[in-house]
Amino acid sequence: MIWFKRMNKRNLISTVIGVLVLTLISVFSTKSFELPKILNLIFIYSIAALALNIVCGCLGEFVLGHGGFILIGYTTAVLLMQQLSKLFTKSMGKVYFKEMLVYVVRGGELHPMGYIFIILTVIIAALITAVIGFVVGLIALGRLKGDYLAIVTLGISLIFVNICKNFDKLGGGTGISITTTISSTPLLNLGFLVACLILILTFMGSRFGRNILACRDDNIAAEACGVPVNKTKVIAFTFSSLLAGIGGALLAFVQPQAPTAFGQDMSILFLIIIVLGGLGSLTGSIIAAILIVLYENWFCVQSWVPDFFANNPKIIYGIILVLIMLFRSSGILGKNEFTWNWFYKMFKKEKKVEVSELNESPIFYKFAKLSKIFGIIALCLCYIPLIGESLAVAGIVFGSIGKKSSNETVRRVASKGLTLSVISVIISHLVIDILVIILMQ
Amino acid sequence: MNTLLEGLKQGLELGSIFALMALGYSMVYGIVKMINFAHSEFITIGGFLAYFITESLLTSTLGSSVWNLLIALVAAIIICVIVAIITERFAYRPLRKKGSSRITALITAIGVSYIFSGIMNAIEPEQLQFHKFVDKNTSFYIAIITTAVLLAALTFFVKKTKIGIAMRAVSENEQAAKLMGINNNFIISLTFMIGSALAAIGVVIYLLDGECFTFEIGSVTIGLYPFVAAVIGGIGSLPGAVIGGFLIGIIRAITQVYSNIGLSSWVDTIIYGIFVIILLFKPSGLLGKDVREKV
Amino acid sequence: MKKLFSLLVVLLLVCSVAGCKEKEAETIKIGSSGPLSGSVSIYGLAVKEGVELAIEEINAAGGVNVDGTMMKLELVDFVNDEADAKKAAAALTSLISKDVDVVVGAVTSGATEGLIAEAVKHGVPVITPTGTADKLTIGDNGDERDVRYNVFRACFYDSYQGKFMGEYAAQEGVKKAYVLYNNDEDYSKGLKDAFVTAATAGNVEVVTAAYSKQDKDFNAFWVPILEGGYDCVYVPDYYENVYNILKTGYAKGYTGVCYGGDGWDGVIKQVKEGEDASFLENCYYTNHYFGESESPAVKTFVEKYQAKYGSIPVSFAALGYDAVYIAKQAIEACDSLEYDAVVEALTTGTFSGLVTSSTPFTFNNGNPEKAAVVITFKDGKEVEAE
Repeated sequence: MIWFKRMNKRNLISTVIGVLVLTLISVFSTKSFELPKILNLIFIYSIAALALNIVCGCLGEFVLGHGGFILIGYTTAVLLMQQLSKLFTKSMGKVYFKEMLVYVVRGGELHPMGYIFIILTVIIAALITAVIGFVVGLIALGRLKGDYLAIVTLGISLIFVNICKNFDKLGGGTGISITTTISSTPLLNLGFLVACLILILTFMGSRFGRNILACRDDNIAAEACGVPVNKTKVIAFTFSSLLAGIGGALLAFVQPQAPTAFGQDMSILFLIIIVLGGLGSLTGSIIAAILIVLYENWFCVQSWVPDFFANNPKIIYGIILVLIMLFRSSGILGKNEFTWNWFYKMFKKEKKVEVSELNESPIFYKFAKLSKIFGIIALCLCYIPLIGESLAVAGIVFGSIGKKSSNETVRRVASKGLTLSVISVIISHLVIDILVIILMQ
Repeated sequence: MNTLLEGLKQGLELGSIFALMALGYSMVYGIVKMINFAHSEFITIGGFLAYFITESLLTSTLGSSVWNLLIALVAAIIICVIVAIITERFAYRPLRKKGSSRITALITAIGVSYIFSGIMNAIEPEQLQFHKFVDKNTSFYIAIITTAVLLAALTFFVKKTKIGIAMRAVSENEQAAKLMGINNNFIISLTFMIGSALAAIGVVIYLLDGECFTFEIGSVTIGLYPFVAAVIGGIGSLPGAVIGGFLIGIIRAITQVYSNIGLSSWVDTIIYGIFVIILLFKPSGLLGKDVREKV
Repeated sequence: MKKLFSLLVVLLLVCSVAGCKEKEAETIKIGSSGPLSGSVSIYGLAVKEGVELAIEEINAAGGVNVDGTMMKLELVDFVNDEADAKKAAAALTSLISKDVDVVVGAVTSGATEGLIAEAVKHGVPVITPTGTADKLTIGDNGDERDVRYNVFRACFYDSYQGKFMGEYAAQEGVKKAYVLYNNDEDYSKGLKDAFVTAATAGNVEVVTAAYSKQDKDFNAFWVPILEGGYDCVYVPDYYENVYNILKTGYAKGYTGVCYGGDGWDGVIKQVKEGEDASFLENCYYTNHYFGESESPAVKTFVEKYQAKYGSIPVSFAALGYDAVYIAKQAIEACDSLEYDAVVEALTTGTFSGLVTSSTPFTFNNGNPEKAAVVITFKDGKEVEAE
């Protein structure tokens, strides 16, 4: 539990509060139509992206066949659930089973037994995926590296897809699904995400994790220091496929997908996510997963967004990838982890600026200060519709005037005000949406 | 027996087309150590241009003569080369200047390929029929002969000419080549140009017996096969790429002519299975050079 | 001050909530989804035209009689799902958020499956005009009708037309049949399975072979057919591939007959000007209706369609048109817009006066009981086969 000790108190508390807020949102989101789906995908994509990040970011080996392992998780979960459902239908009668499990937005909630079933299925599916990942890792990782490894994993994942495609029981052309019988809730997926994160942090803090990092930084030096390089690589790969299996299995309870959807394109989608977030940064992957899911499922379906974005995701993703590689090849967070420090820094006082020192009209400084004050108030009042929003808009206006100043300190104050105001605009929008959804019921 | 012969013949034709495309992958990888994922989009662009020009020339005085095809071929080559130069100049060269890692280069290549295929999909996703210039038999000989001639010419070019030697020098050691007065950027651009020209030739030969053209021809219909061929043959090796191309082409055609016993639905498993096995036993491909890792 | 403030807040909240809750009750909202771009866009566009025509027609005739009040129909949205399951699922969510009363969609089987996975959670009545896969209404293993209770279709289903063609082949005296199917389409696989079962039962020797979506060059696939001396080839796929396959085969010297399913609708449009397509005269396929049929319902529909869009409607347009009429008749039967009532009316009601069925029919497990038409080609035109 070394990661636990390393975190400072303020960060820990903020994270816990953040998770609690997410839990609340997840619980209430089931009242809405779009929200649960978006939340589910965010949590699942995060898990799958974290899995890829362990191999690509932490181990430094390049894998292009991530979709194949997600497919295995997905398929095993569906098959297991089908068997489970058959078993229970036999012993308890069909109607009873269906009533117990079907999760219907109009009427009920997921039955507690449903939670147990899903958790059980996901764990078994993940273990099976891990075994297959172990075999693949044992064969491929010892001999190949670099681009060759990437291509071989891509080939292996395409073989998985081909096999699933050829057997109707395993998927066929349009895929098998279980979502009409049982579907999971955002709460459950959030639970899995938190569990996976704790697992990853514990794993990366252990001896294996340090070995993995050593292998990334210098293979040969690590070997010279007594790190069993091949063994470490296989362990990391197995761990990654375990998590990919969890992601795939959870996906089975959210949306139906054809085996071909798990091919090259899905592998590359997760690659985009981890590259966008920063190779090696766990929180970066989560942030990028949030961005990508919001882009696909929220931004593109907005009525004011031109059809171009929804119809041509490939162009957008391509441009994102190339631009990131050209101008910020380390991604959003690089190798760093997300902390709340920047948030607290927003409230810190800058050193006072004497009006006489400014060689410009003091109006800029006044606006900058006003912007910060408005931003903070807006953040405090963001749960109140219109008030919080209008304050934040004022904050944005003042902040952008303040940014015109020639004094650096003034500019810094203004940009803090601006950031705070923008954050409160976003939050207040979300809050209003959620309030409306809850009160609508 | 007849079936097998027919399969081999079709396999050789398909294989020689794969070989032409594999040469492009192989040369680029050999010199910049980067899998040029955008290569499949060069194929699509070349095919589209050839289709567009032949269709518009059909109504002119040229009709469906050979000149029509030749003009289309030359235009396709020129456009492909221009696209390749632009891609290299604006996406890959800045990365090289920064000395980025190979993963960065690979991801950029995927990004470029995504951009092109997105644009292609946005234009017109319908299936188009390429004009039938020659029958199946003639196209078989054209494919085989073109591949043989181009392989010989390329080998001569790389082994004997000054530029070819410079090319090999850059692929061996970029820094040292620079010190010897070789213009690295020019050589790399040239490699991209040759690769994309080969892609254009390949796709035109593929289409000229009246095949269907779709905007997914590079990314789906031909797909990763030329690339797999290049890796199997040993990336960076010209004869290797051709051998790999023939191997993949023949396997694919054989599964198709024996589709009545269910082979064709397993084509991906068979090809990628062979591919994985070859790489496991010979990690640098059939004819590739083994490079030891040094401290 | 504080009191005033909180009062203001409460007021604002109430206003915003009231604003959202206010439902417009004057129209019956129909939502739809289908591919408007991509490789099968022709289907989505045809269905959209059929749906729009039906809505226009019903509204011109006064609307739908719901419990005494005449209500107009309104197509709130026709979402472009590009035949993708994920996008169709998202489409349904967006339709539900627009308060649709009936969903007419999706067009392709794969997309419909994605849409249904969401639809069963909301209970909204779904009438897919053209989703033919068997599992849409009964689930993967055929035992999910109680879950998919709200799903209906306006077309016949895959096993039905596969079986129909298999029996037809046996009847026509075919000895050795070859099935060339697309491994990436469940539509194709479903037809294949039904055809094989029916043909084998009719003492026809059947061999199957699969191709994938990568294959555009079918020369090699015809080699075993020509070697084996088959006298019938069943090609259950969509028109682009079908035309390609047929052309290659007959050019290679195949002389037997070719059979197919409703995906062939549109093959005739693939023939280029001046191209010799006489080989099509040996080809037969099952379809939902025949556009130049003499039946009065078809005739009036085709006339109206031609007046509006200037072309002969393909069967997809007719099915889209019929799906709207089925919805109308169901709503009129139950005098309500409640999801459950409409579903109940669909389950129990009898539907008549439709373009694609000359006789009234009821739904059995969500599938209409109606007959298929066999169509062949003559002089570059489609004709009904005897």
